[in-house]
Amino acid sequence: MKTPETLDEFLAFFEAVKREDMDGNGDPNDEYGFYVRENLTFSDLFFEEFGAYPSKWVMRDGVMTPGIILPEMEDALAFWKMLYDNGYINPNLFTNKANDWIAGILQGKAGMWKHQVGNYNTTWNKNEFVDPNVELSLIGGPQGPKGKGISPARNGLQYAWVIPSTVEHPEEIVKFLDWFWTEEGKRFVLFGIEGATYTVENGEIKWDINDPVYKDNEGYAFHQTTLNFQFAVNNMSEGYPALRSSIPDYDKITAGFQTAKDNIIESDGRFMPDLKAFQNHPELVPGTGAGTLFLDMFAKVLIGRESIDEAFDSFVAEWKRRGGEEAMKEATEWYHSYYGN
Amino acid sequence: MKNWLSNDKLTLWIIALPGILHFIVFKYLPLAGNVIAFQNYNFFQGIWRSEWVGFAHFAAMFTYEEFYQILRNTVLLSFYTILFGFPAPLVLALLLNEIRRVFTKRTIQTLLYLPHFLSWVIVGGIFISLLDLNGLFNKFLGLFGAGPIYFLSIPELFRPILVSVGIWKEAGWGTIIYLAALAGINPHLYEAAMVDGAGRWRQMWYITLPCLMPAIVVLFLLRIGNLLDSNVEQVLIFLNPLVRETGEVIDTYVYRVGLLGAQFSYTTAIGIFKSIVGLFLIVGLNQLSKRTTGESIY
Repeated sequence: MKTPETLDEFLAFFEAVKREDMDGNGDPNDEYGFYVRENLTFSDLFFEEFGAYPSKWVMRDGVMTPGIILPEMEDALAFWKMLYDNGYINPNLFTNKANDWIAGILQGKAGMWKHQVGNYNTTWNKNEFVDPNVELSLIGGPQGPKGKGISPARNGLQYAWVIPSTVEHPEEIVKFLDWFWTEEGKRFVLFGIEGATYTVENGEIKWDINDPVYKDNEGYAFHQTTLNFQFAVNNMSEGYPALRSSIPDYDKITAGFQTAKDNIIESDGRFMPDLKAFQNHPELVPGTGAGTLFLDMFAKVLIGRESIDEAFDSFVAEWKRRGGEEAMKEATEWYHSYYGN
Repeated sequence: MKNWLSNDKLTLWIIALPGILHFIVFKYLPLAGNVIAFQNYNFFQGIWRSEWVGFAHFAAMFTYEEFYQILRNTVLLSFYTILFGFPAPLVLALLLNEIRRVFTKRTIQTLLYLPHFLSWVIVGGIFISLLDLNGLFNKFLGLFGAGPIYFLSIPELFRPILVSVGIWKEAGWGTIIYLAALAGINPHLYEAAMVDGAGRWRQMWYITLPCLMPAIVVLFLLRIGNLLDSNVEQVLIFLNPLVRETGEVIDTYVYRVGLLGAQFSYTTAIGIFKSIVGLFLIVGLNQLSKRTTGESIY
């Protein structure tokens, strides 16, 4: 089947997953086209396609409005309900914990899921899957009637180093940080310790992700997320062809990063600080994390306990009443002061 | 030297000193930190330089939309846990006490209190799988032709599930104290009762339970002080968007508020509220117990 691109093609893919009994165990009902995790973590697809990504803010009619209360959200809700009713998503999505979600995917229950490209070789390593012939592709999001995108653009700041003013020799710390961008430092960050995690033969660096030192004790995850705060596959790795050959499917992953870039969702609320209006009302926060008011409505609609129109209208009214109005005002003021218009 | 060491009072004080110091340093001194409930505590400015807001946080708590629903959920959940979960170890202990063969009794007892050592993440994960749409319970229902029920999505079932799983996990551990108390009952009492013609049930009612009363009362009073504390781990693991109306308790609300940016002051205010309620409960019930059963913890 060719890679789906429009919403209809994705639906056809989901139907095929069901029909063809993807994991081959004779039961056509235990595979799901799109495998969803609890609280819609890593599962917030099919929102932007209708123009209503939950956590993004849009300037509409002069007022900053979050995706969760946009009228387009009703279309997204209808689409999700259709997915649920047709068995394209797992019905236990509200209690599907992270570990169960990963386990389910590895067992072959999922046609498609959303995660970070960088985990291609670790969490989703081919050896972890129950089916030895599994083939994974990294694809972009579906093109919907009103938009396309997978993840919102972030601030661009991953983290910040803080040196307290009471420290005695701050220049030593800066020197240490500078070291990470020297040849030696780069090597440490990318490959680890010579002799322990990599070897040099004939001037060539030999580094294997399937080395026991990485496989045991989750060494790879520790190295790449704790020690290597730059992650291997980025511009720090220029000049190291060894990396290209030692990371399996390097080209696929790099292409995957590019796809992710092409699927960024823009938000007018990018760079906006946390709103004061939400401080004592965590349930209102747009998105599917702390903001439980939306998630509760979403859950009831999906299960069929309430009808979409009623539930959505009462949700919007409730959200506004509890502090959403102030939040929108605050956001609008911020927008004008930040963008100066 | 000899006189000094043989002074009992002094010796007792010295033995008690480490424990007392521990309580002073780790329990009483930190009480002073509760002042941050009356401030807008800023981590970087510290206690002395954060602004004071008086009872603003308490006001915010009581005027919060769902406060009464959350409070009700907390009280109800604790109430049911105490109602069903408190007698469970007692009943188990009484049953275990009847077993003659020591080997059987010890084995069963050990198996029963093993779940206490499992973390809620594990136990929660196990029961979520069991209660899942494809889980064991639903497969069992399927044998009778009943459709799969998404148990964890039904608000009315949420508290019963939590209480039941809680009992499964903790009842075995609770029997330890009761079994120890039961072992301390004078067997002559039972013999005398049998001579008087008392059957098993009467023996239990007139001998066992009254002898256990001190242990029961003490454990109960200690338990009641925690009425507003819920087992956060357990509730968080099972909580999902569909059962929030019965499942959201004070501690899960505090967890979410804390997620939204270090609301130290607000959560301290909530903690103070819970502690004061707990204090009233313990003091009040202690007095009540003194007058009715004669037992009390102080």
